[in-house]
Amino acid sequence: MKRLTLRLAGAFLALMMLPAALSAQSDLTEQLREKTREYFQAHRYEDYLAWLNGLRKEKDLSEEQKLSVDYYSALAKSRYLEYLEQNEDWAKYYELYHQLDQEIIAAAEAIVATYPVSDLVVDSQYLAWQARLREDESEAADAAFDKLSALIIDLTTTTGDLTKFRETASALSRRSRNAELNVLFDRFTESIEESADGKESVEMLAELAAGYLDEGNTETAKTIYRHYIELAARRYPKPESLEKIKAVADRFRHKGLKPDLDAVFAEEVYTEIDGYDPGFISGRDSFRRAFNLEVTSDFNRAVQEYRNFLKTSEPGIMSAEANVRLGNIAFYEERDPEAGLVYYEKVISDYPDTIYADFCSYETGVYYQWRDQLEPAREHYNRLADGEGLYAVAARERLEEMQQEESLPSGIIRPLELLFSMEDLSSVIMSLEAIPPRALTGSEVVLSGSAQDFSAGTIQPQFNYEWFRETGTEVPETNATNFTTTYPVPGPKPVCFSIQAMDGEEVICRWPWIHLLRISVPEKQVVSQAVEFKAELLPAFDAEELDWVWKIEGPIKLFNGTREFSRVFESSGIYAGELTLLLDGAVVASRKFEFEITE
Amino acid sequence: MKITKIISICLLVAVSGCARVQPVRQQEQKEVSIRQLEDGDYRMFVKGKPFVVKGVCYAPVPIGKSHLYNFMCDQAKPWMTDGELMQDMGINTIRLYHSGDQPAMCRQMIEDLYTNYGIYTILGHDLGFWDYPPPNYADEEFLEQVTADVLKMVEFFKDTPGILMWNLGNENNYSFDGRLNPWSSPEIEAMESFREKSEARARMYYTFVNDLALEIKKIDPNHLVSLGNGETVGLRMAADYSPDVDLLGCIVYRGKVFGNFFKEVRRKFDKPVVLTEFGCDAYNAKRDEEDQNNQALYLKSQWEDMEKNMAGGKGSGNCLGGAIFEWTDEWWKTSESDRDSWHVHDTTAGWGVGAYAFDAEAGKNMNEEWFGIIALSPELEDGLNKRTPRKAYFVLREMWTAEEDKPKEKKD
Repeated sequence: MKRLTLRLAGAFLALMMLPAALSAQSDLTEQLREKTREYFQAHRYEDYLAWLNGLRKEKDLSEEQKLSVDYYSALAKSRYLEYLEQNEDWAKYYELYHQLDQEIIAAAEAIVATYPVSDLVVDSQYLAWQARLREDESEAADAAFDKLSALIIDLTTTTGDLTKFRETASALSRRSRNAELNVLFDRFTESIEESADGKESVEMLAELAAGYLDEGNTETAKTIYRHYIELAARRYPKPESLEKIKAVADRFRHKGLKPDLDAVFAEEVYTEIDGYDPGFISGRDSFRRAFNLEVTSDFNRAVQEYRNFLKTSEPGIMSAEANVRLGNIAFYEERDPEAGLVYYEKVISDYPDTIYADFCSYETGVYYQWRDQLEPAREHYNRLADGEGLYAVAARERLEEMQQEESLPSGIIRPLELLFSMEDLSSVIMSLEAIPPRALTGSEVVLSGSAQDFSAGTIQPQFNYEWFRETGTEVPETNATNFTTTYPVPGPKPVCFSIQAMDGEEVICRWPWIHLLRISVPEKQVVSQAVEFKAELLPAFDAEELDWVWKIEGPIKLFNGTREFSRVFESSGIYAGELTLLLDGAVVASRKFEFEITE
Repeated sequence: MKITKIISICLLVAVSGCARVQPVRQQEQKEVSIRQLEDGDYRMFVKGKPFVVKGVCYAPVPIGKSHLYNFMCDQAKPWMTDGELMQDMGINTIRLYHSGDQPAMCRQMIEDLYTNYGIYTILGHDLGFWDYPPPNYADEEFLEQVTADVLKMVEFFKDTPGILMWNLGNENNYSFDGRLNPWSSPEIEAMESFREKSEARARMYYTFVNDLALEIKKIDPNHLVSLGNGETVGLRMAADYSPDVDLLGCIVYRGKVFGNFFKEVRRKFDKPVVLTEFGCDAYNAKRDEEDQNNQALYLKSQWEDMEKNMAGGKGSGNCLGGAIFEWTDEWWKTSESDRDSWHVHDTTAGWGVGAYAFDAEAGKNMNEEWFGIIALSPELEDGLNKRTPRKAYFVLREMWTAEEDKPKEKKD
């Protein structure tokens, strides 16, 4: 509508033959925009340039109008080169680009020198910078970018409108120009520093970052958050500033059932907080940070944080998990079984009725049995043998073997031998990933191993993969580097794979953690009586962070958003329910159930 | 003893004095030579003029054929079409892995490339490493056979216009640890440690290469002899046991730049080096699609790093150039035994190098069938698979056809 009005106005003024330069300019701009759309859509860049060339030669064009034509000409040349690049028409591209770039630069520099700052000026400078980059003129490109960023900041602070800023930042991000993106945000941060807006302008940065994060542009979001953190630390009083910064880390850290956005960046932010106040991360936050470190395989620092958690928290179920994790790291990563057993013993004595204690008893028993210390092995198995479940069954099997003086099955004994009997390690680097590292019983877990010999140069040896211990419901094929499995029983699951390296064999272990989502609803209930709905997650999980959403459908429908609730049903019938667990709004798990209400 | 010392010192002073006005070591009489300059840098000369190897590995196997196909006998003469494209790009050298089973045809190709396009050839011999029966460098009979074969090759080709150098071996050093093409002897087997065994193999192999180099020089004093190594594995041993080779021919894949490679060669071997293979594939294993941009970016960066390490550059001054791996894609490589697959441009990555960051996440990210800077298509033009230069071709063309003697940044 606006376009039409302008065109009509332009036409009217032309008819009246009034020398209205401003309207003539608007009319020409509009005409250029329309032609640009038309020709660009059809990728007719050469035709468009010829048309612009003709227009430029018209006698009655003002100097200002000529510059507009020059801008569109530069834009068309730039787009033409991009088009050739996208279509990999390299012969044409390399034939043309030097000449076109020189023309783009000349036109853009004339526009920037003539006009006050505006969208057109910023866009022209952007084209000039791009041309300098294509020409590989690094100093001139740097200077062009300096000018570009100064113009953008000038425009943004003058108009208070972030549009051009966002547009440019997105373009830089798309092109992976991270160094320039940083410079732009540095300058923007400096300009906010100089302004007296206080917290408002700081939050503008957070909003900008969150927008990119929501779009899935994590890299740009991280760049902006880095600047935000720097400013938040200065503009907010403590501890508010540190809470603000921690909230950024929490967005990125690993949360178990939900894949992390960037666990390494989360740790970078936690480290930043340490710089401001080394004691600020404590208690439950230490556990979260330790878990985040663990999934990035930074085991030394994960150990420090789990210990910090144990020191700064009240004993509870999370303490049991922290001790198990410390034991596993000592056992499998540091290859120090004696240290690992100390943690396991603590769990057995302090948290005897948990699945963690069962896991620790069994693992300790296996270790002693492997060392031929049969008495302590028997003691640990006996603790489990009368019970039910996976560890009870396994403990009975081990006791029977000892009774018949048989040795441990190879699937159990082999990883231990490779872990604790080998002295020399070769140049092979191995890794094992469990995705997700935490999952529910019955849901899929992908286990992937990889090995690479960095001393072997271009000719890598063919490694043979063998999988051991708790591989779940799947028996991986010989030499499979990855497989998908499920686990019917909750608890930590040691999974190992070995490869044959040049001077022996190597083994690596990880333990996906499997959780049981237990829903407790009576199968039959009568009308007018309260029905109790309960759910729990085993072993302990950071349940506080989850949203528990119950959806029930039948003669009546209902929703509930708490972990436990009760409800009286006045209508009989079959009801179908579903409990969904959400983390930061994303579904991480769900379970269905059914119950009946009778008269 | 004292007199000897004094004479030595006098000689040393005299040589140092000369070094101010001319290079320390010269081999002027040779058609191809290497000189060590006053500052210790190395430079190659061909017919008396400085020469940087701007090369490409050449094995233009057509779609549907395998490495068993002898392209040198192809009536369509692919090297004539390729030679024109190469000349346009500024290529001055090809690397041939072997001379094939029809040496006369190979000689014709080498001569054609030189006469028509000024392109030289690095002619290789793998010293039986990739042949059947498998190699055994501890077996005298095997060594005699290989020696006879190599000398026959040198004798046949030494006067062919366009020969640049002889490259002995092709990653044979990867057999020292017994993992690739393992070979042994009772003497080696009697050794206890893995390290002793590995060093014994290196000693035997490098001694053999040195003997061979000396024999070649007796027949052909005009061309260089290089030791064809994979990476820097075993190089310290090579310094002790292959002192008579002229240079190192090395296969290196280290991503965008070569890191400490040139320094390491200086430290361990101190002879100049031609990279007999370097490069980047044009397939992105992470995104599962062709990726010409990263191939071009990596090759550009690799060449810039090589330039930095050439004579007069800021680096180690021991790089003489190199041969990009490779000219055209080779569609047979993934499944050598499956003939049907030779018609398919397979996207399976065969091995992994984390330094190729753009697709390192895929683990195995090196796609053997996609290393060409020229893509092939099944469509035929003049009896050959149509050749389409990839972006890397044009990027390198800009670098390789730029002014020859552009001033280089001086050392700090």
